[in-house]
Amino acid sequence: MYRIFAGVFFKECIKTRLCMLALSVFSLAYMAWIWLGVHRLFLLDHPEIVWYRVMDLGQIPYAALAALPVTCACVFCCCQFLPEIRDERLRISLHLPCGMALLMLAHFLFGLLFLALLYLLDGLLLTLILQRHFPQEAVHMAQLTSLPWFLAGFFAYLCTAHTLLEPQHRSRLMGLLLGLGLCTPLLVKTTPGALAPALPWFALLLPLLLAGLLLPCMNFRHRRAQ
Amino acid sequence: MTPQPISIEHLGHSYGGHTVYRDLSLSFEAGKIYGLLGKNGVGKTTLIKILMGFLKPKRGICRIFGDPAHAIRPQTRERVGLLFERHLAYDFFTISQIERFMARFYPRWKAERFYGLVEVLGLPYNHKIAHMSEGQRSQVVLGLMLAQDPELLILDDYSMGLDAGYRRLFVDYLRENLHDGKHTVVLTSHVIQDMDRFVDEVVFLRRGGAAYMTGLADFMERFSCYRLDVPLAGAADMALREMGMGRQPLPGKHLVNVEAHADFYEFFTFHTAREILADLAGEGIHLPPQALQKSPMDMEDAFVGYTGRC
Repeated sequence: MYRIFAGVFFKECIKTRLCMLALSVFSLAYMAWIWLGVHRLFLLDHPEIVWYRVMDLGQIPYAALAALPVTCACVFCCCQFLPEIRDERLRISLHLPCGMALLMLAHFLFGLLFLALLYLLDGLLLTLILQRHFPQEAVHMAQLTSLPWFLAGFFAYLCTAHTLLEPQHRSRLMGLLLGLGLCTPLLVKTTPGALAPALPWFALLLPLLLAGLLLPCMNFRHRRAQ
Repeated sequence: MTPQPISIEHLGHSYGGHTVYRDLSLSFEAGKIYGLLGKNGVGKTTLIKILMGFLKPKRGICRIFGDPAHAIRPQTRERVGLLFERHLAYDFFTISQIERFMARFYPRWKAERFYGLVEVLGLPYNHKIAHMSEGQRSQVVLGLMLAQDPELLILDDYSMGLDAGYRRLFVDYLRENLHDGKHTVVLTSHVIQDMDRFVDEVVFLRRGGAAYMTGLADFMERFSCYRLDVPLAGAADMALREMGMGRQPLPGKHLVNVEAHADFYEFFTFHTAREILADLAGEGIHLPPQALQKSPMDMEDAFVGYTGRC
């Protein structure tokens, strides 16, 4: 098992290193832009007014962050799997002498691990940005508010992988619709932190979705519906 | 009993309404090199995909060392080397990276075979595969396959994209390393004349899924081309042209194919000139006994003669 994970992680590192670097730089730049936006609020208004808007009226000065995890997930997934489906190069990996399920799981876990690290960085930067200007309870609320966006990123990654790997057009569309169906409720505008109680239930879907991804992989392997 | 490298039992497959195979059964012995031949569209690629396990047949079964090809166990997969068309490789790797990646998965990995082949290219080991020519990539892919030390090798159109030099290099390397009675090789190629350098058996696939497997030496000895240099006129000429295009059935039961050219005719058969003359006479085409002259053939001529030009 170690051999498979080490081999796949080595391959994925080489393949996606430029993409990982670009996404990390983009995320840093994006977070810097969010910091500028928050900072600007305090330049234009008194801190009491900003606090009142954020803590009493529920305005979110970091709302732009909602789009970042999903965007990064989709871009990363394309960088990871487009080279594999181009000329069906994934066949090279699928012929390696190891179980298909474990092999593909290693691919997906690599992607999820990178995104988890990226989201950790984003979350950490958000905490640092808000800690400079807001009390702890507002920071905590921001963390609860942004968690669904990061979870949506994981869903977007898995559903994009489904769409890319699946050879049948109808099932591809299903993957796309599934992604939309899972991400939309997590990205919808609500009261800050309102989705936090539902997050464990949403998170339960992640392992299910991960296991379900083996189906497009099997379809890719056997290509019965050419 | 050791299972055969490949056995195909009652294989049936179709795309939409087009039947590729109806009931194809073939058996490949260990230690031989097989060339899979056929015109475009007869199902060579489909059969290779089924053998490689990337297409599940609709009927019948194809076994690789006893395992169904579409559900081959990892330990069996270790014994099988695949070469995909256009020498597919992960082109984001460098030469040394791709060797490191593949070596992790194969316990019998022989790095010296890989580097032995790659050194011919004279490229640094940090050279990226994406920056290589098709010929250079073919050496890398062949090196990777041989380093696995497989018992069965399946090569899908190894000659595609290679110039004459790289093709010769590739074929010579295959012949020197695999023609030892220990390796079983199944290959397809569009360049037929290369095959007679190292193929033991040929499998001719025909439209509708019929297949004919025979030893190459035996085939080349028994299969003949008789040439008629006297231009025929009228109905006889028309009849032979129609036969050549497959619009009219061949006369008798000794002819395999007829090709009508502008100024001569070719008759392909496993039989004698006398039997061909008798078949033609039955169709109303009477020729003198010395009219048909045996014409020498190389493998490509024989292939075209057997399968037809169109």
